[in-house]
Amino acid sequence: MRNDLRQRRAERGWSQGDLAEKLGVSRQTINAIETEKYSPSLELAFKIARLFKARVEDVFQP
Amino acid sequence: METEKMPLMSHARVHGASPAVLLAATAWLAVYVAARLGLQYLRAESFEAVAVSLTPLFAFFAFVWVVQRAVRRADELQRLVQLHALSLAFSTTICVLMGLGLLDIAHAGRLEFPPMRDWWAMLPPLYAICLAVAHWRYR
Repeated sequence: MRNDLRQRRAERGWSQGDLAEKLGVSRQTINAIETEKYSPSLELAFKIARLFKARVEDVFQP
Repeated sequence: METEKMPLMSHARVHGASPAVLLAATAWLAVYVAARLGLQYLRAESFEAVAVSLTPLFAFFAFVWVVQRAVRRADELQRLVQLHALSLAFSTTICVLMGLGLLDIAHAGRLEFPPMRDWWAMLPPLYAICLAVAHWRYR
């Protein structure tokens, strides 16, 4: 699933580790989502969208 | 901030083997080796020999408990990695054991290497390899 997570994270100056800690997941999970090797669960997708104050469909595109 | 309301999951690294898992695995291995060495000096079929032979089971149960706790604390990707590793390891295990079983038949039940009592020892490294493969997929 395409997403602009890396861009949004970079805009805030967060490292993958920072974002992982805020979301309560591992850094590997963030990396796998950014490189589009892994599609997050709906729960995690909503957490990510809420963190960036955006809609899920703005962050993730099928 | 909204993020402060979000519960933080514990970062148990099952795929990277957390210190607790490694410690439990080391303890289990140490107890097993001690039991194997101890059995050499005990009379076969004696009460002591049976007791010593069962001792590693307790260490193994402790190891299983630590692993289960780590899995419960893992995040969704780590659990997926574990699932891939287990599915790969399970099918590979069947393949290896089937092959060894057939080789044993081919040798009229006299397959000496590896001895049947040690076949299980191949499985943990096999699982570790499968875990590394599953982990690599999501790097």
